[in-house]
Amino acid sequence: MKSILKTIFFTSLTLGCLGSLVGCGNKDNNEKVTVIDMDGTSITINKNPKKVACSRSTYDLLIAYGLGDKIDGVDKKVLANPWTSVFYPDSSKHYSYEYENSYELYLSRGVDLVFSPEKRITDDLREHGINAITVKLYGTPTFDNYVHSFSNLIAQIWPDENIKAKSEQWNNKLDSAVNEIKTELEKHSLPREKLFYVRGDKDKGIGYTDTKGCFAEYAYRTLGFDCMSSTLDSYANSVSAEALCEWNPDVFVMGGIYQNKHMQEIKTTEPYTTLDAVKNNRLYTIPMGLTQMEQLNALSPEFFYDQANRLYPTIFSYDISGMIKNSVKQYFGTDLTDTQVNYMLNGLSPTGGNLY
Amino acid sequence: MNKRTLIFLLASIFCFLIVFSLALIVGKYSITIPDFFKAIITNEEAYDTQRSIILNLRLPRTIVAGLTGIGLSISGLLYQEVFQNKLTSPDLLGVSSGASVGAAIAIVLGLSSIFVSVFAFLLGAITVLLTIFVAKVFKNKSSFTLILAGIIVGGFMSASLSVVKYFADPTTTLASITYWLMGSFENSTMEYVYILLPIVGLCCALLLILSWRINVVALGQEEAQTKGINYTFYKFLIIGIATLLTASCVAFSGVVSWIGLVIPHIVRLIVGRDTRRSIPLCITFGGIFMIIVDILARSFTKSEMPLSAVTGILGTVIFVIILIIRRKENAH
Repeated sequence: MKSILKTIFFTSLTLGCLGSLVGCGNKDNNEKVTVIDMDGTSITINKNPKKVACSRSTYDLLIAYGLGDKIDGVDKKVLANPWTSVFYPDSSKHYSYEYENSYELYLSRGVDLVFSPEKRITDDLREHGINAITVKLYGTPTFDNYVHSFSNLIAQIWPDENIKAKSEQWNNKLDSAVNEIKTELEKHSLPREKLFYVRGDKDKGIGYTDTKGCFAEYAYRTLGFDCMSSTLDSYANSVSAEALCEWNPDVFVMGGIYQNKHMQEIKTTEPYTTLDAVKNNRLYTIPMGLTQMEQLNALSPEFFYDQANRLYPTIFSYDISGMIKNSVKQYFGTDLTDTQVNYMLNGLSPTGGNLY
Repeated sequence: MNKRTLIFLLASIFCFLIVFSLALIVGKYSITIPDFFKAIITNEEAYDTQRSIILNLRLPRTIVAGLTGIGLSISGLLYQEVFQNKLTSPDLLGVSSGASVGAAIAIVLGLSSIFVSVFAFLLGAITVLLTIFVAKVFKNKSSFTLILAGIIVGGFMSASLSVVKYFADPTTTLASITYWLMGSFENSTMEYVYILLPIVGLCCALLLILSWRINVVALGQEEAQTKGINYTFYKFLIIGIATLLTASCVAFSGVVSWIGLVIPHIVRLIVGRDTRRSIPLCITFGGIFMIIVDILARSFTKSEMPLSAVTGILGTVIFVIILIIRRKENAH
């Protein structure tokens, strides 16, 4: 009996050691890829990570490229957005992360790649041996050279032909939208007007906006406007009421979950009521979706078409509703109803209520 | 009131009026002097924006700035006199720390700005009561015990603030808390004026009536009792008024550092320790200082600078100048 136990013990030990060696061998044989993140830092990671923790800006494009099953979790704000479960019902399987998490949490969950929103967080995670890549909401100095960054990064990290094709398709779709609108605008000799973007993801008033590195600044500059965000550095994302009145924009665009509240506020609060944009009723909103549409997302081409329609109603008349329905079906496999798309376009929740 | 005090008082009232008017004219939005008068005298539509900026933005915030300057300067003076310590400031008993916790809780809960002020005021007042309670536990009536209790409770409130900040969303509420903690008059409305004006006005009137008793209390318990003054009653009455002023001001402006320390020193340099002279000058000097700080905070950048950044820079420079002047006086 004793010898049988001895044999079992040593056999198990030998198998265990062999298993570990095989494991180590596998690790060494894993294909690596060296990528450069949005901060310009080079990092070598394993290709095809299986458990990814996402920041807010990276979630929907991963799903759109068919990598939803590779996502372990995402920032809790994304999951709290009622549109997320409408677009992608499997989001309920995803873990709800904080904006900033301890490296032990990632290790305990077996995460093999983190898409982090800030260099500071990325550096901290890398110091603790976790593969992390910075995917920011901001470009340096502007977003112009970063529009395809994350899309290309996905194709590099998951070098599957199918994903590569999706990435190229999305890049081309966005470029086509931008070029089509720009070409059309060039045909009309339009005056360059002043535009102020009210950010609206927080209830911080009309003066709360975004800075020159953001996607919205790139978008509205591309759409032919002088955007106040172009003049704001990264530390200054709000503008005093006096500074706003001094600038006196021709157009206001309002995004985020508080857009409808801000729309009421600007129409009823002095001194904003005295501004040209308010007097001329040139106040526009930005659709809401799985993310704020004025931030880079899977529906960014549709965002350009929608804003072109709203800001230049005499020039453009794209079928936004149809475009959004097709893209959501293509990327997320979900059929949106006309009512739902209408709510999206009006910055409302899937049931027609306010999002705040 | 002697001649020197009267001259300084009249001069400072004149300066207050000038600075107040200047605050209505100067700002990020350029308004020329003729346009200023046209905007406030006429009803011309062409001046709607200017009129609205003057009446809806600059007027309420300038009044609130003036009242905050008055309130914090006077409360600083009172604390310094009662505790016989020239380095004490209005947040000595933990008012500012408590108010900060109250405001931070309200911000994390997503409440509107008026509730942020209400929470700040309540927690500020509760903190002082807690300080007095802790001081009672020591069963020692000296001012030193009260200061020690203030440091203990203030420390507890600072730790509580850290806990609230930890639970705040780093991308949303944390920045709001940090900004509130540095002070701003950006959200001031006439509603703030309607609340703050009677509080500061009544407290000032009461203190002017009580000023000679404050002088006696400032001499210490034994001296006060020989003059037939109920020392404990007046001491806590003065502390109560100072606390009410601080809590009210902090509730509407956020934490504003230095003013409660610097202005009483400037005033004492001019008229000495007699509160019958120093309180009126604290009113005018405090108001002038804070209005100037507000003009600087809002006039040079597209977004407003936090008040404590401006008061901190001005305050340290002025404080060094005061120390140099005092040193020269002592040398003579």
